[in-house]
Amino acid sequence: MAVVTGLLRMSLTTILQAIAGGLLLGGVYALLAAGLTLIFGVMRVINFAQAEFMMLGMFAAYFLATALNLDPLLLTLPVGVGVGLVGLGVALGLLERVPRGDQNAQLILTLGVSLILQNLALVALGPTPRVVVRSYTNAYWSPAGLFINHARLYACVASLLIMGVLYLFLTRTWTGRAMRATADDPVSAGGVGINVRRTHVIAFMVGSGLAGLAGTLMVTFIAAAPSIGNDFIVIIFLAVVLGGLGSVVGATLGAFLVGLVQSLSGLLLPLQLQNVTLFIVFVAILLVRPQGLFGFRQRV
Amino acid sequence: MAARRAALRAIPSFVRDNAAPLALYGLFLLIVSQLSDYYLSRLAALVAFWAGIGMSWNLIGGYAGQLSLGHAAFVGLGGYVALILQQKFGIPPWIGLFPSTAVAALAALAVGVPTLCLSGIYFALATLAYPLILQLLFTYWGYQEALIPAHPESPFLYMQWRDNRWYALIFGTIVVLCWIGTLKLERSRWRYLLTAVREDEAAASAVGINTWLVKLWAFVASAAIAAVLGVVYAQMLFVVTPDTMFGIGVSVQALVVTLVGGIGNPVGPLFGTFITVPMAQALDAQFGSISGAAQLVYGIVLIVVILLIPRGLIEALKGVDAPWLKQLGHFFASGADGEIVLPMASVTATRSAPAAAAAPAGSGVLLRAENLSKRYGGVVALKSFSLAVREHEFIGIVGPNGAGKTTLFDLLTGFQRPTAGRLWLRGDDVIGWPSYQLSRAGMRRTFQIPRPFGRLTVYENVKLGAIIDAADEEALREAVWTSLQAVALAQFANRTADTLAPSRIRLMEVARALVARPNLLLLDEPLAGLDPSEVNELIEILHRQLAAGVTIVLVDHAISTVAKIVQRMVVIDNGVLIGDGTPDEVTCMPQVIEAYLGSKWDHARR
Amino acid sequence: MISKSVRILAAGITAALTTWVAAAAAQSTVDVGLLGPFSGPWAEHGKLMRIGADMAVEEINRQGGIKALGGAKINLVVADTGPSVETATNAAQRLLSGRKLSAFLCCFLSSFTLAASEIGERLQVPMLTFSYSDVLVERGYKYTFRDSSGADFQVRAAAELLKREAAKLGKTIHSAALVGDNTAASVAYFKSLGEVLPKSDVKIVLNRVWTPPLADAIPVALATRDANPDLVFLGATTFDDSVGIMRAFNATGVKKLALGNGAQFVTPEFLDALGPQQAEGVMTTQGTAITKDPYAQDFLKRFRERTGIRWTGHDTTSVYSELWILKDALEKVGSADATKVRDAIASIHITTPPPTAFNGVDIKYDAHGQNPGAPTFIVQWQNGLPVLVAPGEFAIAPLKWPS
Repeated sequence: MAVVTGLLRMSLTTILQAIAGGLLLGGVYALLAAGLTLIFGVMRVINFAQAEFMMLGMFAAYFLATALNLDPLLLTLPVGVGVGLVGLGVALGLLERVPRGDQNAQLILTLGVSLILQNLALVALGPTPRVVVRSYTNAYWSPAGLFINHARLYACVASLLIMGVLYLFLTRTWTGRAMRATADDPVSAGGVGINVRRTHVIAFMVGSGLAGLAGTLMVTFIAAAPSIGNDFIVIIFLAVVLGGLGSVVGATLGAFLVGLVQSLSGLLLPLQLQNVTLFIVFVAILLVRPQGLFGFRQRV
Repeated sequence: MAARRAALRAIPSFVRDNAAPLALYGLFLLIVSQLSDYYLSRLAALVAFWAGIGMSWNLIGGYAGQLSLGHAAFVGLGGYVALILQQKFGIPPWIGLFPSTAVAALAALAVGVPTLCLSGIYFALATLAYPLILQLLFTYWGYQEALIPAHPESPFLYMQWRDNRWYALIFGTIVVLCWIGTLKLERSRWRYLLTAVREDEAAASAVGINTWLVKLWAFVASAAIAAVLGVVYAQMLFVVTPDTMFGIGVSVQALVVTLVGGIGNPVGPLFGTFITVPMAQALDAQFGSISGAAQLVYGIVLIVVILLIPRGLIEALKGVDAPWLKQLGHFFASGADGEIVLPMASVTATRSAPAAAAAPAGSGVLLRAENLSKRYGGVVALKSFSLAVREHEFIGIVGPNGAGKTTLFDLLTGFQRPTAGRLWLRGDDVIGWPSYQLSRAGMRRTFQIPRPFGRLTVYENVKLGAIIDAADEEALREAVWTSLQAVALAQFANRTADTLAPSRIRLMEVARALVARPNLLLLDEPLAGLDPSEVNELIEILHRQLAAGVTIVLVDHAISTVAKIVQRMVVIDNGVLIGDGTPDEVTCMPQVIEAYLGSKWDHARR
Repeated sequence: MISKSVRILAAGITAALTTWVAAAAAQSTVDVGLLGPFSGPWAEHGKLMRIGADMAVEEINRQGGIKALGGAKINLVVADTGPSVETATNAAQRLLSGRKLSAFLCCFLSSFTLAASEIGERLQVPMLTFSYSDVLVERGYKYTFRDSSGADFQVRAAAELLKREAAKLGKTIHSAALVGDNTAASVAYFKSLGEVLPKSDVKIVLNRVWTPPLADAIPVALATRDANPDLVFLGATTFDDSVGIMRAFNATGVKKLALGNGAQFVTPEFLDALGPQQAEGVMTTQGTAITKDPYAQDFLKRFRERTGIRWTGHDTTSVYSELWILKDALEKVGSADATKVRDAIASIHITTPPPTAFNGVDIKYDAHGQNPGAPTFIVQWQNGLPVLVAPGEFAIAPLKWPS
C-alpha cells in the first residue's frame, strides 16, 4: 500500500519515464538472460562467463565499427556469429571434457573462462573504455515529456526482433526442438536419436552468441571495457531466475520485469538501494516458486 | 584416582586420533616462527586464513553437499560487526568475536531456514544474493571505507600487530581446531548423516534423516567459523571495504580452494590453499606490472587443474598407485576413512520382532488412507483413494502404467502432499508429515529406481537405515548384520554400493529398509528388472519378514506375478481404485480385466 | 724490454678496466615503487599514472640520474593493487619487504591508499600520494606525504571560488544539487559540501546518491531539472556513470554549472563519448594541473608527442610531480635508505619546477605530511579541451558560466 501511495504522489510523467526506462533496459537484458537460460536448460550449466561474451561482442563491434566505419547495428549478426564461435570453442574444448553432471567442475570452468576473457581483454586491449558514438547515441525522442534515448530504443527493438527469431528457431527448427527436448529430458532425448552432445554444444554456441549480439547493441550507449561484465552478471541471473531456469520466454519476461523493478524501486526507495529490492525479490521468488514464472518443475 | 587414570588414558588417544593436524600444526609453528620477512609471514597468515575459509565452506559445500555461493556474507558479517563494536564502543576484537559469531550464526539461521528447502542450483543462486544485499546495505550505512581504530600501544589487546606472524598463529590455530573438529565429525555418526544428505536427499529422508535440519546445522556451523575468521581478517587488513569483505571473490575463493584440494575431505581445503594462494601470489609478483596478466594466468591454471583433476587433488592422488602415498593418505585421514567391517561370529538366525508390539494377525489398522487425491495443474493423478492396511497384511497395489501408482506411493510415504484426503498411521493423523518423520514412525520404503548411497559400502548403506534411532554401536552392528543376512548380502558388506549388480542393489535397499525393524514396509516396483530366480529370492525374503511381523505393501504393475504372492490385492487405474480383495476375486473383476486388456488374465488365474 | 705496443695495450686495458670498474661502482639504482589500479574498473587511471611515472623516470635518468648517488638511475617497480584491500596490501607488503625501496607512490583508491600507508608506516618506507582522503593526514603518520590538497579543503576552496566567480558576473548562488554515487570519495565530497554550503547560504535542493552502476540516468536528470539548482555538484566516479549523467543532463536540458570531483571528467574517452558540445562547461577539481608555467606547458607538449592525447589530468601530473619531489629528496640526502629519504622529504622545500609547475605552490610538508599551501585546481571543458580556470593566478582561461 505504501508503494501505491508513494507512486501516486509522483507525477505521471515520472512514473511513465521510469517504466519506459525499465522496459528499454529489460529489452537488452533479455538477450543476455535468454542466452543464459538456454545454456542452463539444455546443459544444466550456469555460464558465469555470459557477461564476458557480451564484453567480447562489445569490443568486436567497436573495432569493426571504427575500422569499417559501419553502424554497429549492422554488425549484429556477424559479431553474434563470431562470439558464438568462441562459445563453440569453449563448449567443445572445455565443457564437454568435464564429466557431465559434475556441477562443481563446470562451475569452476565457467568461472575460469570468465577470468580468462576479462583479463585477456585487459592484457590485449588495455583498460581504456571504448565508446561508439553514432547520430542516435545522443538523440532523444520526447513524447509527452518523456525522454527516450534513440540508441536504447533501437537496441530494445532489435533485441525483441532477435528474440522473435530465437523463438521461431526453438519451436520451428529441428535443432531448436532438439534443444528443447534435451532440456526437458536428456535421457529420453538421447533415446529418440538426438545427439545430446551436439545439442549441448549448439546450445552453448547460441547462448554465447546471444550475449555477443547484446554487446553489439549495447556498445552504442555503454562503453566497452574489460570489466564491464561485472555490472551485468547479477542482473542477468535475477532475470533468469525470475523467469524460470530453462525457459526462454520466462527469461525474456523476467528481464523486462527486472528492468521495471529496478527503475520503479529507484523512484520509491533511496536510489542507493535500487538493487536491494531486486535481490530481495530474487530470494523471495526462489523460496516461494523456485521454478520462476515458466521454468521446469524440478524432477526429483 | 580413577578419574586421573582415565584422563591420562584419554590424552594419548586424543593425540593418536589427531596426529596429522597436531603434527602439521607443530610444523607450521616452527616454520612461521622463522619467518621474519613481513611478506612471507603475511603469506603464511593468508594461506592459513584461506585454508580456514575453505574448511568452513567445506562443512556446507563439501560434507552437506550444498553449493553455497554466498560464504562471503558470513565472513563479512563477522568482520564488520566486530569493527563496528570497536569503532562505536571501543570493544576489543577478542570480545567482539562473540557477538560477531552470534550475529553470523543467527543470520545463517534466518537465511538457512527458508533457503535450505531449496535444492541444488536453486540454493546456490539464492546464496549469491545474500552477500550482495549485505554489501549494498553496509555501503548505504556509510561503511564504504572503515578503518580499524589504531591502538599501537596495546597490540595484543586490540589484535593489531605489526608482525604478521601473530595473525599466522591465530589463523593457524583456527585451522587446526577446524581440522580436529572435522575429524571428530568424521568419526561420529554425523559423517553418515552428512554423506546421506549429500548423496541422495530422498534416500536420506527415507531412512528417517531430517535432511533440512542436518543441512541447517552444517550451514550455521560454517557461518560461525567464517565469522571468526572474518574478525581477524579485518584486523589484519586494517582497512575494510564492503567489496573486500562481501565480494564475490571471497565466496569464489572459498569454493576454489576446496574444490581444487578435494571436497568433503578434512584436508581438501588445506591442499587447495597450499596450491592456489602461493600460486596467485607468485603470479602477482611475476606479472603484477602487466595489467591483467596475473589473473589471466590464474584463470588458465584453474581451468587446467579442473580439467585434469575434476574431483580435486585428493581424489586424484587416491588413484595413484604408490604405497608411500597411501600411507600418507592414511596418516592424514587419521583413521577416519570408512570402516572395514568384520563379520560377526554368530548372529541369531531368527529375527526379533518388529519394534512395536505385534498383535494377532488382522487386528488393528496400521495405515489408513481416506479419499486421497492429487492434482497437478489440470491433471488428476489420483482421485479419492481409500485404503485400510491391517497389521500383518501383505498387500499388492497394482495397476497399468500411468495409473497413478507412483503418486499414490509418494502420498502414502510422505514424499508428496495430497491435494485432498486424510492419512492415518495407527491412529496418528499424518497428513503433511514429512517423509523422514513417517520413516521414524515405523514406515520404511524402497525406491522404484534404487537410491543407494553409491560411494558408501553395503554395510554403511544398511547402517544408515538404523542410524537415527540406534541405541549404541553394538546394537547397531547386530541389526545391520541381521539385516544383511536376511537378504543374503553379508558377503558383500565391504563392497561399495555402486559396484554391485542392480538386483543386489535392490536387495540392499530392502535390507536398509528392514534394519530399523519397521512395522510397515512399502516397496515401489521391486520386481522390475528381476529375473525369475531373483523374484523368487525376493519373495522368500518378504515372506520371512511377514512371518516376523512386518506388514508389507507392494506396488507394481506386473499383476500376474503380484497376484501369486500377496494375500490381498488392490487395483487402481486412471487414478481411481477399481478393485480390492483377494487376488482370485480381483483378477476376475471385469473392470480389472478391462483395465489391463487382455488374455494375459488367464495366467493370473490359478 | 717490453715493446711499445704492448705497453700501450696494457695502458689501454688498464684504462678500460678502471673506467668500467668505476662506472660499475657508481652505476647503482634507486628503487621506487608505484602501486596503482592496473586492472579492474579503475585501470584507466592506473594507466595514466604510469605514463606520468615513466615520463618522469626517463627524464630523470636521462639527465644523469641521482647525482648525489653517483648518477644512480631510478628504477620504477610497478605493482597492481588488484580488486580488494587484501590484494592491495599484499602488493604493498611484497614491494616493501622484498626490495630495498627508497619510497613508493600509491594508490588512487582511497581505501587502498589508507591500507598501504599503514604498511609504509610499519615498514618505514615513505609514501607519496595524491589521494585526497582526509583521514590520510589525520592519523599522525610519519611516512605519508601528500603534495596536493585534500577532499575537505578542495570542497571549501571550490565553493569559495564559485561564489566569487558568480559574484563577478553579478549572480548569486542560492541552491545546489548533489548528484553522485556512494563510493568513498563521493561520500566524503558530499559530506563536506553538506557542511560548507549551508554556511555560505546555499541551500541543497537535491541529494541523489546511487550505487554504481547507474542503470538509467534520466530520472536523476529529471529530478535535477525539476529541483532547478544554481549549481550541480557531480560525484559520479565510474566512466559510464559520469558520461551517462552528462548525457542525461543534456537531453533533459539541465544547463547548470557542474563541478565534478576527479580526473574521470577529463579523460579523452570522456570527450569522445560526449563530444565537445555536451562536455562544454563541465568542471572538475584536480590536485595538480597543467598550469601556465612554461615547464608545465612543455610537459604537455612532450605528453602529446608521447601519447597522442592532447591533454592530461592529475593522475599523470601528480605522479610526475611526485617523482621529481623524490628526486629532490634523494639529491638532498645522498642516500637511498628509506628512513633517510623520509627525513629528507619531511624537511624539503622546493620552490622551482618541475613540481611547482604542477602543484602551483612550493612543495613542503607539515607535521602531518600535508603540503599546507596546496591549492585546489579547477579545470573546465572549453571548446573540446580541459582548461585550467582556477585559481586565478595559475588559470589559463577564465571560468565560463553556462548561458
